[in-house]
Amino acid sequence: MKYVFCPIAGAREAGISVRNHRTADSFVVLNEREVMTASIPGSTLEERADHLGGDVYPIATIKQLLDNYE
Amino acid sequence: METIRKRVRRDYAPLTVGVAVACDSAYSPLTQVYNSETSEYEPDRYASPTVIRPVITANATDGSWPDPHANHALTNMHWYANGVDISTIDSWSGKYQIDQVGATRGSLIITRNVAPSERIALHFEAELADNRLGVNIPIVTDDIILSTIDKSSDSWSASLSADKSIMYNPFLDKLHLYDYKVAHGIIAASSTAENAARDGNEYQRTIPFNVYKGGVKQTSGFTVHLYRIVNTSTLTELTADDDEVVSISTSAVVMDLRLIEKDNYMIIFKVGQTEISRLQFSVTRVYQSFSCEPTNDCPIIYGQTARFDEAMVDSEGQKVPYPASIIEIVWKTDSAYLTGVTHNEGGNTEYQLSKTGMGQLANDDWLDTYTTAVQKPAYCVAVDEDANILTDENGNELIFN
Repeated sequence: MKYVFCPIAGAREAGISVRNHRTADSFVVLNEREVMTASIPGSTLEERADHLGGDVYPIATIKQLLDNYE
Repeated sequence: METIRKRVRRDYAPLTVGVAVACDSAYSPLTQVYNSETSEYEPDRYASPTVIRPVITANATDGSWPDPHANHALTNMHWYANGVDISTIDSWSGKYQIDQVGATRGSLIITRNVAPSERIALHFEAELADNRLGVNIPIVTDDIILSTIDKSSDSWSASLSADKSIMYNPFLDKLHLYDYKVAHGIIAASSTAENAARDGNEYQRTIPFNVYKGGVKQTSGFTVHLYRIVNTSTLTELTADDDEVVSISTSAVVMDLRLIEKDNYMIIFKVGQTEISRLQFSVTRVYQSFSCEPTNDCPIIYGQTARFDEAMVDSEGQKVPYPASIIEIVWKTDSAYLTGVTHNEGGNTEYQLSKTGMGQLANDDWLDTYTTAVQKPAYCVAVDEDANILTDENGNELIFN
């Protein structure tokens, strides 16, 4: 499973509630499942992440990003 | 001089409290998947926390408790894992939070992954502060389970993609009818017509299945073995060379249901010699009720020597086309002098009147025509007296019923 690291504003604009999600500064972590089931343009995870203004990372990178912000 | 004071209080109806527990994070459910090949949890709760919310509702019959959503009034909140307060468990330290705000107060936000070997029963205890009456009402939820499925290399499973009780009804089989028409020169062979005849009721039945390894669909890496169940302890392995088997692949077995009266089958999946999963299905030939009657109502005219008749078969309110393909229709006549005279088998008949015993005078010039009709059983492969299989000129095995 991959994860999307994107601006909180981008997620909210796409109708995704970021409540209870891991956040880092103005960014939020969304997992592959919720991004692919949300009403976001794009057929691939990468296309959808791009629409949210974010990038796709594996869990190891996400952990590093979150740890760096703490 | 002061008079005696009397203090009275407002009287409130007691609260009726409802307690439930719900997972608020559909994107991170109670059950995780552990991928042993990547050593990753899906999802990893460090990135996607699981949120479990106690759902506390309260009502007072006098309307004095205005908001039924009562989480905001919770106090002294504790979550327990397998009966132990998680604030005292090392493995939970720093891996959870308890929401303190508003309607979701009391929610447990979990960033802890659960190993495949673990099974954690969580429950919530708190007190609901009823400030009207100045009492705290104890709250205890039912357990909610956290678990993890191990998507490991030895975790195989299989499932049928079709009904495991397969019914074959020859009356509904358009492919059988197509074959009959082609064989009798009624229509020319046509792949379009043949494909149109495959509507799910055809005798050549595909029985699809899916095989999974750790939850991921597999198309190779295993073998498929089909068996006929002889009895509870005996299986006979079948191959594509057996009569009722058309093909066996890693996605489906294809059976010729014309050759099956009633049987049970087992599909066993193996990796090497090790069985990894098995599926069972049954096939039953349907015997449907019908009526059969001669259709020729014309009188026999003077000088007539032969008579033709055709059977009309109805079943389930429908006329059965070419009924001789699925029904054994034997033509018979009764007359004043001969009864039960058998003529031929088939959907129609033409017989010599001289064989019927029909008379010439008013008291004996009658003739009753009728049929005996039964649905044909399952087909058998045709063999000669030495058990050699009979084939056509192209080597195709002949079958009959």
